[in-house]
Amino acid sequence: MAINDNDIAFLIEQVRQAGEIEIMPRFRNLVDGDIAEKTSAIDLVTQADLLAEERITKALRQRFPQALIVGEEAYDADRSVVPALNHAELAFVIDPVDGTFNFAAGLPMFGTILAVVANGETVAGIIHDPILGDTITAVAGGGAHLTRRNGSSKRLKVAAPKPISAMTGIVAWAHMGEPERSRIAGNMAKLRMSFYYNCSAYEYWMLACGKIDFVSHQTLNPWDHLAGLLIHREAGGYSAHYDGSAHRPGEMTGGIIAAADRESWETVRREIIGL
Amino acid sequence: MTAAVDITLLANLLRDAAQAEILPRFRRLAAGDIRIKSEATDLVTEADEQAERMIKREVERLWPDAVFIGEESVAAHPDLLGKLEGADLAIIVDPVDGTFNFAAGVPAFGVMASVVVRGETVAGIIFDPMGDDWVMAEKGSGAWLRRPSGEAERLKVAAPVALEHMTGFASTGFIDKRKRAEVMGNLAKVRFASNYRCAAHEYRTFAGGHVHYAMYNKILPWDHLAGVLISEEAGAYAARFDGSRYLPHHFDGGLLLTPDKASWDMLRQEVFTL
Repeated sequence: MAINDNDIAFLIEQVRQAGEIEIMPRFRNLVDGDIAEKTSAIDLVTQADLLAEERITKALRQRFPQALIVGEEAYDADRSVVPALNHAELAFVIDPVDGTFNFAAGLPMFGTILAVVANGETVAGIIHDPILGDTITAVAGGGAHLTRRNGSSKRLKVAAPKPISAMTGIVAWAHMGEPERSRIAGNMAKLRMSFYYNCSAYEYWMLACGKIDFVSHQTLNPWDHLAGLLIHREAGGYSAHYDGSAHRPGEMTGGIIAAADRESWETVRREIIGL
Repeated sequence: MTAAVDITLLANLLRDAAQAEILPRFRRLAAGDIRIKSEATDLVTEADEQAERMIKREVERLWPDAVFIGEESVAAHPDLLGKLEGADLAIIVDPVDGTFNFAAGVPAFGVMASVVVRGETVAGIIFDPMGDDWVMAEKGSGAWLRRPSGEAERLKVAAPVALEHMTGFASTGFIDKRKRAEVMGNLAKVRFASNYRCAAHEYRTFAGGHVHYAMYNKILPWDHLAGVLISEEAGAYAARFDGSRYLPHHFDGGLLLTPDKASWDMLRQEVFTL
């Protein structure tokens, strides 16, 4: 099933409205009962996540009644929705508030992510900044763009390839077990600079804008990665699983490295991931 | 004593500068508006320079006896930094803390100021242009989150937890290359290490009790004086790596902040083995 320009405009509008109505009024305005721990003290869910996902899901169901809708909160209720992404004719994957730890701590680094998957391929991706109302988007084959709230738009391009000692990159080693955790944490010292924002929306934002050189994750929650990986690819980047195979939307394992090109990908795999 | 400086005036000045010179430039910088200072990740933008110019002009008008020390003023006149130690009154300003983020279009940046009276930090202010609020402290009066509406909320650091449950901020980029791999490997012992490349937001988050530690190796006064005072007033234990108290004229020796002394000793021994 094809998704057209009107559909994309509709999706951006839904994400924008969820930010204005459900997310921003709660930023730095949560009371204790609004935040709940999921798996640990750094895995949180807030009223903003729940209500924004509910609002976007409702709008999608009205316009696309046959589509599969996968959200972080929907997945907690039914785990079969993720493998179903590899076969669904049309699916939407939502992360209402990516960077919930930041959101709950009052840090202005969080985003709303929406990916469109058709027949096992990510065909569109949207990452929205609810604070300023700016959005990065990509449609497969159409390039990646940053669109400001005022409507101005520019095309995005990944950074030029460079040697490992000049790279700035992000690896989510804190989410890994041993021995990868210690090995990769130590390898990060080879880079020009590394940092960690607890927010994949901004990792992909910076990657697609050419402000950082690579991102790597071991666990691939589709709501965190599908939109960003497409936007990165459309900005000229190269990504693949740790074993070199292409990532499919319903796969949560196998790791990912997203870098400027194939050669940079191999450098990061060898020097940082240590494979 | 802060009688010399009305902290509300200084706080409002930071907000005015953010609104006039910083926010209008966010995600709108042209290539020529960003310049490299010491290296590719050390940047200065038109926002830094124009905001500092505005704050300096007003500080000189409001507090003509104060020594003004701004990050960009020091970049132009390095000997200015030497005036901090002997000054009766100094006002230290970072016009855009988190310039790398600002220039990359990432909304984690802040505006900071501190007041130093005869070698002691007596007040610290961190303004967040995105959230339009301040965290601030005057020595002995607690740390507070304040909003322009007048609402205020007292800040308190997190309760101490065991090493493997600690989350926090580690700014490892300025550690000597040979030691860096060891420290970064040690970080695998804690639950989580983040680095937002923005001391303003890291101190805000630490003092608000959302994480358990903050570590810095490069300690220039405009990056740390305000945040350390605010953290201490929120109950933190702060010291340089050798255990000594951090003072405004210290420009090296690192800095580690934790909820209490026991957490500090644990992290110093297990993780920050510098």
